[in-house]
Amino acid sequence: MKQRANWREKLRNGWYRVASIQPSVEAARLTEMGLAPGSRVWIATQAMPFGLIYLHTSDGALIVREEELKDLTLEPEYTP
Amino acid sequence: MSEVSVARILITGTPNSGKTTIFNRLTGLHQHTANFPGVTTSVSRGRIRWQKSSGHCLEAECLDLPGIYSLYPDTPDEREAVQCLRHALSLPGPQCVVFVADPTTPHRTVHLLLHLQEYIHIDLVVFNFWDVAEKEGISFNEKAFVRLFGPHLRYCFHNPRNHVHLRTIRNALASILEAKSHEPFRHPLLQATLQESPDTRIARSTALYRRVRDAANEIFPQKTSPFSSPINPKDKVFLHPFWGTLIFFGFLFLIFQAIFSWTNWPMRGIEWLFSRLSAALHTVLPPGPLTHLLADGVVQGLSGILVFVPQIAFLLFFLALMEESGYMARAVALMDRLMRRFGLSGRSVVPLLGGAACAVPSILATRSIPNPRQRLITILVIPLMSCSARLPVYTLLLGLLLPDSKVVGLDVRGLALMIMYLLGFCLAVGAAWLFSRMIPQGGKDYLIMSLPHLQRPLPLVVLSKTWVGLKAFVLGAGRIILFLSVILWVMMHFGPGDLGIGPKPSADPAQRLKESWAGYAGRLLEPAIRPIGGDWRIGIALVSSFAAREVFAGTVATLFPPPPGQPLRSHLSSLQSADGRRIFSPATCLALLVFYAIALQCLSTVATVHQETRSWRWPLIQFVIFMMSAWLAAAGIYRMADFWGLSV
Repeated sequence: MKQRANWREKLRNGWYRVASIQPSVEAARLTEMGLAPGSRVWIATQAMPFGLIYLHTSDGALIVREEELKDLTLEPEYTP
Repeated sequence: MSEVSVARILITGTPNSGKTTIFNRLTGLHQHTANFPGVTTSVSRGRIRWQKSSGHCLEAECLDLPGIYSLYPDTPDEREAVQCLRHALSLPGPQCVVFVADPTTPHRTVHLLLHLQEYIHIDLVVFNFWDVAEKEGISFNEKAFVRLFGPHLRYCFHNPRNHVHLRTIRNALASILEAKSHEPFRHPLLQATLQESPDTRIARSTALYRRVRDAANEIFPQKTSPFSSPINPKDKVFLHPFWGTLIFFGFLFLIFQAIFSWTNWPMRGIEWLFSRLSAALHTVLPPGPLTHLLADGVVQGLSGILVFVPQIAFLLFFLALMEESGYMARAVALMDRLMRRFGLSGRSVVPLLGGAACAVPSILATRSIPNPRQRLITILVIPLMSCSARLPVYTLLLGLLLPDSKVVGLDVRGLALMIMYLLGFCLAVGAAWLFSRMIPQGGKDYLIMSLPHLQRPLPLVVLSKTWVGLKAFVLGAGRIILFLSVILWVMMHFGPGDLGIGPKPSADPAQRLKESWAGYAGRLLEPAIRPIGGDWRIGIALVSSFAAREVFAGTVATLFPPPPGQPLRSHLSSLQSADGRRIFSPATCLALLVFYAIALQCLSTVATVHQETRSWRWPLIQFVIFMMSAWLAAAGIYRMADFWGLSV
């Protein structure tokens, strides 16, 4: 099941794989910071500052706003 | 070596990879470093020298560039890094490009290294933070590295916690520069990269990442569980909306309590030392104007400033702790939502908090904000944050306003100081909201921030940063107060009567002061100062603090010199004007506190705003609005306090 991540849809904490990216300046920066298609990412939305999402890539932790993920299509891999 | 053919070392890499730490160690300079991305926002320059055994001396200019993720800049600091890289590589002379790599971010590091290699020749890779990488179970596969980057790319390791590898880096740089007689490798596309569209950027990055993904895992193999939650348990607390916010404000509370409670003895010690020095000068030197100038002008003026050194040291120490531990980035995340409501960005938090130390570097730190409108608003409101220069003024006035007592074990003055700092923060976000209504929307805003490792700060680094900040404060304010105290003393002790163009100098000291040049100047200012509860002497202190706010304390000490052995604060609180009212009444102190919280009395800040906005329009608007608001608010507060009987 593919899940489009945006501020309306709540993501559960867990591992996801980046399936595809729509072009935008934020998405371009995310790819340069390690969220290119095919990369694995741990997403934590619970108990985070309002409107922010904690991402853990193979390069460590990132903090992004919910809307920054709108151009990413994420595929759930493992949600505990 | 001629100016045009100087050897050049360019230090580049991803943000927060420790470039400035290496730059500082190589050049012996003290550029600001911290454990979060975006600290270096402009190019720093230094010199490195090697003394060869043959007696020959090799010298190179070293450039520390702001961190980048690619050659596609999104923020002013990234733009400066890319432009500097392009410009420096077009100059003649041997060049050496050093890539500082953070092995704990292997994909980002390998991606940028491969990306840069498409356009420029990288000479040396320094794997920094190797101690942290080893702790995280990361190792280095040399064969995989050589397979991807070729056998000619030199590399070495560096551990910021010791100097063991510094000699290796120095030697490698010397041998590279000596061997380089050829022109640096240049690619015409380096110019074109600045104008790439998001589609092209994503396509390039995605293609590169296909190569990077497996290669990075191979070069830096790491043993991790594929399905475990990688979130740091400390981050679960620090980033928690409730607990995180509580810790943040708890930390601020601790700072301000410490500033007042822990600095009493050293401050008294400094006061005692200067009063002894003043008394000793009166004893040793023959009576006369020069002795008077030294003992009551210069010494009192310096004492008025240096007495606050312990408090500023504590403030700088706690700020360095926050920066070095990696906590500052967590504070950015916590404050993002609040900041956005007022037209700012989460990224504005670091410059705003940095404003608690000094507005000038904080204004430069806004270069990491991608949205031009949010950057401008942040620049405009930073001066409202209570900087360390306001600390001596607040401490002096709060000391006069409030008793030295405790409530539930907490220092009352410490609580009041925290309120003053929170007032500065509230004024800054309030002004940001107003500016956001005035400045039209424009530019893209996003928050994508790499969280640095939480680490135990190195005591030496924290102390060194505190020392550097303290030295800048003492030398900066000390020079001004030294100059102003001499001028003020002359103005206070001579008048038109000494030139024969006014009444003869009186023998009564009070009358003589009134008829001095300072007296005449002060009375000219009095109509503007009276509504905020000050007399002409306070007016002079206010005007002198336009050079630097902290000078207020020194000027007050020069204008109202305490008798030998009496502390300045107890002397000031007992001073009365001709109508029997206290000169520093609670109403006057409150009005002055409000005036100093808002007024823009820092010429360096005005100059930096001009430099960063590239116009005089914004600094002028800022100056006029802040000064008028400060005067109106102070006059309003004085009126209210007077109504409640606090002006006696």
